[in-house]
Amino acid sequence: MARISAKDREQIAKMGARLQRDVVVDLFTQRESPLIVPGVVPCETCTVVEEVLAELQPLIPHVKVQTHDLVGERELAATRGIDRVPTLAFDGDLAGRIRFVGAPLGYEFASFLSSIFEVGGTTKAASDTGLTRLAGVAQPVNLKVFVTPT
Amino acid sequence: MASLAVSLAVHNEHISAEVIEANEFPDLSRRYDVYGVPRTVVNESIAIEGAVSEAVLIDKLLKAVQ
Repeated sequence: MARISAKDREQIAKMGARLQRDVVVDLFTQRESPLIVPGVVPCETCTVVEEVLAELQPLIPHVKVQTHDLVGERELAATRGIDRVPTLAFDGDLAGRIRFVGAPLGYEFASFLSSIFEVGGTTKAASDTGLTRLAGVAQPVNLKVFVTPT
Repeated sequence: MASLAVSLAVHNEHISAEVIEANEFPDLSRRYDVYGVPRTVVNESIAIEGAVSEAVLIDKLLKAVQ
């Protein structure tokens, strides 16, 4: 069964065709294991996120998904400060600066899509006035936004 | 709030944004006192409850770096 509805696919493809640049998304996931390993919590949403991204990628040719195993590529994950799965992180110029920790499903799928369009240069949620106010910021600022899918 | 935070990060290299699914990571929710969403935490110190305007978010952000 498709994760993205036919109606949404059409809309996403239409918006995605307007992307001005490639958007590289690193998906940090965890391979399913038949073994129960003490201390390792099974990832309940990794498979769903992988399926959603597999459906999304052909709809938006500019989206490039790179899948990484958190355990197998722990050094790469460490350099990005990633220690949870699933995590979706934007790569390229934005490496290490924008990430979705946990599955961006339900209502939050719209936020994730919006981020793709923002990174791809088709939309801008922030106003020019707001960005001008922040132009003088010269030290690191971290925003953590806690959300739920509903 | 998530889209706005991401937008600020896209357009300002000093800003980073993390969108965290609260139900999936209860340890993080406990650590950051998340009892409702959205909850935005700026630089581990200033928390914003609920959806607020861009102006309010930027006010808090600027306060965090003062």
